[in-house]
Amino acid sequence: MKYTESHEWIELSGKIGIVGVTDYAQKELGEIVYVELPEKGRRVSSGEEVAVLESTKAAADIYSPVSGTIVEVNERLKDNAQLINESPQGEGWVFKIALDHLSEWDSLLDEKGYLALVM
Amino acid sequence: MDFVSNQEPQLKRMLEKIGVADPLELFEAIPKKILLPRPIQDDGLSEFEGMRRMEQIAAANTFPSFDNYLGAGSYEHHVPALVHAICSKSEFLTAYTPYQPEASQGMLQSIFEYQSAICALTGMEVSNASVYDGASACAEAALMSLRTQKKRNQILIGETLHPHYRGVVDHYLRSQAVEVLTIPISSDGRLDLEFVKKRISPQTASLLVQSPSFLGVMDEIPRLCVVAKEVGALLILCANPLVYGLYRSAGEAGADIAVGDCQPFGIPMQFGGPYAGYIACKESLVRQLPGRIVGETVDTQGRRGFVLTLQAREQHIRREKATSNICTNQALAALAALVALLWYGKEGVRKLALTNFQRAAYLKQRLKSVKGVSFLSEAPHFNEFVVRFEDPLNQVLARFREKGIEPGLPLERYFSTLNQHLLVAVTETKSKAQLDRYVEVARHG
Repeated sequence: MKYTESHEWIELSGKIGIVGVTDYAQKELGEIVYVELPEKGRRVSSGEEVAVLESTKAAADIYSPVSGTIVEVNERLKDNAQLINESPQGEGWVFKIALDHLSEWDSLLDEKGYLALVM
Repeated sequence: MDFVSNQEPQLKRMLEKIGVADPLELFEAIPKKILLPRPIQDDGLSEFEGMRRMEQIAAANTFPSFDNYLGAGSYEHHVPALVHAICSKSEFLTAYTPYQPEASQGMLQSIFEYQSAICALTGMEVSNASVYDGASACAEAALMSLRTQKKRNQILIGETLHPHYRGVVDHYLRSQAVEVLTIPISSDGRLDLEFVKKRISPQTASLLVQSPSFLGVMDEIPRLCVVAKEVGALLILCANPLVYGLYRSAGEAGADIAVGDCQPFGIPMQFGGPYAGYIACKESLVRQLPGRIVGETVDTQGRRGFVLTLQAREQHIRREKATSNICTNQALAALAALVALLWYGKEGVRKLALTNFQRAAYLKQRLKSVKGVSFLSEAPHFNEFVVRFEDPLNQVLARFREKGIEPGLPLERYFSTLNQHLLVAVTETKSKAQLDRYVEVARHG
């Protein structure tokens, strides 16, 4: 699993990356009530805004850690946004993306690097 | 909370800190020649003299003695005395927008009741706390339709949307990458359905139409809705809210967003404003609905209470990505509309709307027998219609004004082809005797 400075995590399975927000991010936002999900098939570049998390009194953007095509979104979040609070790095994943360049993976933060950022 | 200004010691400390001896030094940038050396000796009129002078000036305005048939978005209705009684309570009259909203439960409750009334009237599922006016409600609804369907870049707007509203909408859309097409009117004064069928496309985000239209005509909203739905476009319906007392609601007609101006309910014409715009929509669109929304909830002890809800859409939280950065809640005007609505009640609103319709229909019917008078459209109307005079319009106007009647709005300014036409509004404020007099003047001059 790799991380971004904007608090997303990404896990790789072949050329498909699964993306969500970190435990630190969900704690900072508090109870999440709504997720604006991206459209399947959308092409995005790394650092582009793809989704929005809303808590009761804040909103935060989710940026794509890599460039590629959105291949799947977590439909369960539509009715149950709180999955992100309950399991940010498991059932609360947000979207899956087919990577354009596997090389981008290498430039992301590893766990040690990310923890150093938020500690 | 009291306002306590700075005292001498604090002023002195501040001046020392910035190295200034006298506060007047801070104003040295103002050129001496535009400063008064000393106060003007003449202290003007006394309060009494001032009031007399104002009364003299006001008396020069003879308009209140005229029978007024001007409408076109601002209508002469009776304002129930209760409206003023409630609205002049200082808790409402002088309150600024509640920045700690949940501390102002009374204010929030009044907004919640207003939203509920608008939903009941329009047949929509959610309403916000109001926007500036009917024009900005139209513009915000157009933007909503673009935000919910980001890949679409075309909006169809009826030619009979109020021209002032259209001006505001165009202004809002100018900075958006969007194509605006105007739906022309057909020979009966209604929108050209064939044009819509031909030009609507999967790129169309919405249709924005007004009914009763600017020309007073009830348009074929359900048919327009069907055409819109076929390509997945939204239908935005702008309407005088009083019409819903008599005709089917925006929701029943199939509209997705209902907009308009609350002025006909409890808000005097007052030279064009301030009014309150209403904007209500289907619940599926609520996250794109701009402005404040009040919700009902319970506190930790289970007691009923009110909160501002879904605030993450709003400018104080999402800043540049907010649903709107140019809207506010017209709390006092919206309250006036609410009080009038509650005063009339469900049955009273129906009767008021019916009276408006009947009196307009009576005048239109009687004018049919007058030589040299004809009508733009035989399509159904509400409380307004267009009448055409054969005589030159300036002569017609002079004739009516001589008899103390302002007979309607000349339309040439807005539709160059309607150069012999007046837009005539008839509300419950016109008695049978007044309407008969209108017909007499039209007949004999």
